[in-house]
Amino acid sequence: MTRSSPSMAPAHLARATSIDVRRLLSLWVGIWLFGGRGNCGNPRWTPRCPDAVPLSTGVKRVRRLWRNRAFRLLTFIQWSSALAVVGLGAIPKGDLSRLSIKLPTLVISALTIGQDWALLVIPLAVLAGVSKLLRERLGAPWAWELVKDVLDSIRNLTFAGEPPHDPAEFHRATLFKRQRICFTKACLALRRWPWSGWLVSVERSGHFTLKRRVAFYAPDKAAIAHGVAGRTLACGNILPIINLPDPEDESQHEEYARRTFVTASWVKETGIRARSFFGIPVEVRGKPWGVIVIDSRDPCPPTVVEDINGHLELNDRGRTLFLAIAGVMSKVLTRIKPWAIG
Amino acid sequence: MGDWIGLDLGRLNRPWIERVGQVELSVLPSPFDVPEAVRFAVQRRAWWGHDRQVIEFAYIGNEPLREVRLSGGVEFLLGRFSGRLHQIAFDPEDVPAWARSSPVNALQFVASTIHSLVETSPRPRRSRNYQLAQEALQMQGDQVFSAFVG
Repeated sequence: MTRSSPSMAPAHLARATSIDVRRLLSLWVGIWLFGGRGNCGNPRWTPRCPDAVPLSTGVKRVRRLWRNRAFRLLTFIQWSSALAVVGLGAIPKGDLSRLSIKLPTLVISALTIGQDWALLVIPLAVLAGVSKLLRERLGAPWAWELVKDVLDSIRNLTFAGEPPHDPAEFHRATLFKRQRICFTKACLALRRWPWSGWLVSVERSGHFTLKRRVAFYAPDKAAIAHGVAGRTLACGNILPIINLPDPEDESQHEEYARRTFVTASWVKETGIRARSFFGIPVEVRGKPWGVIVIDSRDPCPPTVVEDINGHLELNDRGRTLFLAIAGVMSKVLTRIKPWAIG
Repeated sequence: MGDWIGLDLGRLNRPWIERVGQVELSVLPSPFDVPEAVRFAVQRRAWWGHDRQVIEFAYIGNEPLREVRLSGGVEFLLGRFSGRLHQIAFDPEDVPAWARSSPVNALQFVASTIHSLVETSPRPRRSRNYQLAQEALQMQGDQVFSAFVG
């Protein structure tokens, strides 16, 4: 009985093997794109991720879900293209039949096909590079989820003394990212150029009030920076603003706007209800990255105390907490490129 | 290298009144500007160089550093982007004798050195950090400067 070569394998066996390989590949691609670790926005994967958020909790969640999928697709494209480039580049040039090593016919025919397609190396390399850039622009899903978890922890620890029945949106922590260019309605509303420097909300604690991105004008000229976020970035220190007037009372809008560095019309349009703010600057590798703004409907949050002279001071918990917040966030954000869109 | 000496963050995190726009506010220092710990160390150099006496500050963030040399043989390590004070290095031969006589004099000498940095710094925003570094040294002066004087 003679041993058959791979090229002499029965046709039905070869077909079955190729179908199995195709099935396995499609299954792997499917898991890679739509499931797996870190895809907590996808309710189909709740058994692996018990804290998964249902899709209906906000536009931003859905946006993040599609970004996660896009990130996985781009990762797949980047690695496949890179492997193909390496494979095509490693194929020996010239007449393969003259090689000193005896290769099976199937391998020789595969190498010959590879030689014919050798010019694909250039577009594949470009594709791998572009995919990598786009992935960095999106930011790794696990890093964004970590940012979200940190913001949730900040919110829970800062307002640990608040009544437990308070709705989540009464006390929030929002991360704003500094970016040079921003095209949002805020640019038109404030009549500022889109390229003059902005702080844009990229993540927020809880699962509510995420439908709208908030942008504050934050130019290099500190005196005209907009909002608590803008002023915090400009002065580079912690800005505690407490005991604000009730914004539900329209007669207080002017005073509220003056103390929070916005316009009275902005207060009316946004329907903001916060009575206290904390602006905490965030740096990454010594450069200003953005700002965390903690806002609450409580006029005097539990982390702050007022001394006899009326100066605000952080209590022990506040001090420790804000140091920890800044430190952890600074470390987490090193894994997100400055040009990521958030 | 010497051990890190922890600092009382409650005393360093003091608010001050600042006029922000049209509003007077109690402002607290940035968490990145507040030193968490300080230490004194003697930095051994290669056989051809002198040993240096170094005062270091630890912060919550990491950043690349740059060297700044002032007249009198003092060398500072500042944050490349932030200008934050991370290290002061002295050549023992350049430290005057009066500064070695007591920890109080040593503190005065280092404070004047930091003051000269404030005057030459192109970043006025970091003056708060330099002030906090001075306060940190005053706070733990006895422990830091006992080795410096000895």
